[in-house]
Amino acid sequence: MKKIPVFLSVILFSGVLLLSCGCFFTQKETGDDNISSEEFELDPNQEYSIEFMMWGAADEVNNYTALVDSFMDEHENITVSITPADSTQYMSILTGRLSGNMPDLFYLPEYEFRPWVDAGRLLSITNGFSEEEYAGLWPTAVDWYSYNRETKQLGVSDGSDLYCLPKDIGPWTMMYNVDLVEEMVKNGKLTQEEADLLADSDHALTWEQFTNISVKAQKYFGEEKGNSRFYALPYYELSSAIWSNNADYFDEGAINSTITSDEFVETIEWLWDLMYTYGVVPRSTGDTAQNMFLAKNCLFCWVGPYLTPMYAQQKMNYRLIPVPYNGENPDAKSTTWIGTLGLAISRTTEQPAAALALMKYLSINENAQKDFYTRGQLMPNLKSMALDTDTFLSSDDPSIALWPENRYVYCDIVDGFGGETKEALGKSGSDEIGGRVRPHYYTFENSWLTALETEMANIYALRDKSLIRGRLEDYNDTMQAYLDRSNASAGIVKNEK
Amino acid sequence: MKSKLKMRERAVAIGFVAPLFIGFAIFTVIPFIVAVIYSLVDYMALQGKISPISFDVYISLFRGDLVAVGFGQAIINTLIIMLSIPINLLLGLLFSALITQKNFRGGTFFRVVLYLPAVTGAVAITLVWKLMFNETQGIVNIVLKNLGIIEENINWLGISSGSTYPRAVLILKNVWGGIGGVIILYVAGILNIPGTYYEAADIDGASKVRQFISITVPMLTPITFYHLIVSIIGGLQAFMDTQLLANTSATQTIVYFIYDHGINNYRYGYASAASVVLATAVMIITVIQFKLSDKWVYAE
Repeated sequence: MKKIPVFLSVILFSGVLLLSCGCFFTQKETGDDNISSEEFELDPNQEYSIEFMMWGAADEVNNYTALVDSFMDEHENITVSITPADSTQYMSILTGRLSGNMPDLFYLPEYEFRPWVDAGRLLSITNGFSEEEYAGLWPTAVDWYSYNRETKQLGVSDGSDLYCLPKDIGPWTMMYNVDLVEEMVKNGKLTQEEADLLADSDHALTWEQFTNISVKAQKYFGEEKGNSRFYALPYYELSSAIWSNNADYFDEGAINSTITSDEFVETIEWLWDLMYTYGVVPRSTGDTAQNMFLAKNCLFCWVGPYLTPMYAQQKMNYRLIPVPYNGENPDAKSTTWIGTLGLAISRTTEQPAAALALMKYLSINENAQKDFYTRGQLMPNLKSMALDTDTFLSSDDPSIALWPENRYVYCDIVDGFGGETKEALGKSGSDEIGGRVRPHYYTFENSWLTALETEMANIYALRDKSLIRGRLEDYNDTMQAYLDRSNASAGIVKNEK
Repeated sequence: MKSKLKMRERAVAIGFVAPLFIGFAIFTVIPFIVAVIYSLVDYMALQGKISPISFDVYISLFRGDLVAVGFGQAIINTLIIMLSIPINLLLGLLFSALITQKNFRGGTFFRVVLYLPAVTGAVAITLVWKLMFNETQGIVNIVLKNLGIIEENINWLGISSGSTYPRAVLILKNVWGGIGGVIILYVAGILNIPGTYYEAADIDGASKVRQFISITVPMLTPITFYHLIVSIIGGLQAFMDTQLLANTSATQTIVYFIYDHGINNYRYGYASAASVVLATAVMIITVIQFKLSDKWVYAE
């Protein structure tokens, strides 16, 4: 029995020791995260050594190793060591390094941006850019990665700083199989007018138009041709539907849940209709959406730039379309989500100049960008290059052979509702097509989205559409609790409850 | 001379056991102490935030607004999924008794077949099960529909058809995957029971069922005890199935809760508190099992 108090004493003593010496704790970052432009200037007489941490499949690691090698060839006084990590372990490894030995430059998913920047872990790069360099960037990308730590406000605002550059930009939109549409038109299953609506990349379909075309496709391929595996669309992106009805998950600042708003409820009811009333979207499938599209088991599917080489290799005849919007709602516009991965510099780096030089090289170096889009891997991070009708938007440049003909839809989504793509192409009219960063980008924690998506599965299973509003109202308290907890982690406490 | 020899022997002995103790200290004792500290100060790694020492985190684990989808739910899910343990033991015992019967043919074949899941990659198994129970194209729904048992496809792995189905699939998979290991040990145990016991029972006129209940089952209690200890500890620490097979609120386990809070949301304090609760529960349950084992586990 004497051994137990001795054991407990050892544990207690060790605990007090660890606690008092501060081991195993990360230090809170205080003070200004901004440095002067001089500190971002490279000294040709100084030797630099920096670490770049990233994740990716073997191909991507090889591509980036080659890119970093060419960077070092151009900057002989900078040595870069690359630390690749498995994508599933990446954030835990990175967080584990917060206690001291942080990489100088690292990937940061956009949905981790707000907690990281708010905690003061990132170095402001505002003073590391010339006016000319700023002008070449997508204004939307600058907006995504700007933050005001005083007001905790995302986006460009008075007093905000820029903290990341995009490693890539991935607008996620719809596409359709051109061969299937032509077959439908040829057999009188789709009117030429409807086919023209699909081909019009400057205007999104309304929900009604999309539903009508989907029902026709379902009837023709699913019933008349007897393909039991056919669905007009493999699944519908929740955010793309919600935002395209001018609804949202929460109000500005992600303080209050808005999942019981009329627009939100209406959106979920429409998604329910697609599954049950019209039967054009399955409740679940045994195959991936991309495989369904390749096997011609769906007319529409979701696509992003990174899938370009795969579809080119498979010689798929597809065309992009902006996501449908609710034509009944005068405030609704076609709005889909944009995935992006940031490149961030650690606040604790001792080599900010070298880290920024590499960051710019990986994100906005023209040669590297051209190489990437020629291989179909990325759309250009540089607005000036993406909207250039002599390069990415050229109609006859062999370097864009892998891309779909109307790839400007990607640009149109990324430029938000700014109209820059239309302007570059010499088109007139208002810009009705835009995109937003994924919804968990706006919060300090991600759990709310996983929990909501789980709850959505319950809601989709309801056999009575009229119960949807009640289910969302029941869930609203939980959603609000998640938001409150997320905001509390950053010291934001709601005034009224 | 004698004491010098003893000291040398002692030094050698310490040298042999030192690696084990050093490893135990580094990978078990220190992390446990750190977890306790993290939980008491509600440590948030990203923000570098430490609160004054209190039991607030432990209290909010059970009283917070998110209990319905949080720790309480995770405990319930874990316990329900652990129902596979008694089923496994019972079926394993019955199968073992069956295939060790003298007049049973193909005993070796069944042992191999039933043990196959234990030597197959867990991820591969999970993915195959995911395909089998797929709502629209899974073979289970197709067969049940063709047999007229169901009219509409069941969404087995999603929560949309209710929480029973994903939990039932997980239990079924755990039984199927774990029964081989149980059978191997039970068969070895049955073959080690002296035949004289059964001969004496035969002479006394005991039926086969009576012999099974009064001889086989008691003689196998050490193996049952071992299985119980190992399975309960493993069951409380279940994680992968939630990630791969059925990631729903009805199947998220305690370890998933810890992972979600610690890794996804940087709430080391919450994750550590849940870990400490889990470790304490495992310790208490194991101690109780050992204490109770005196009353039911056979020892020569």
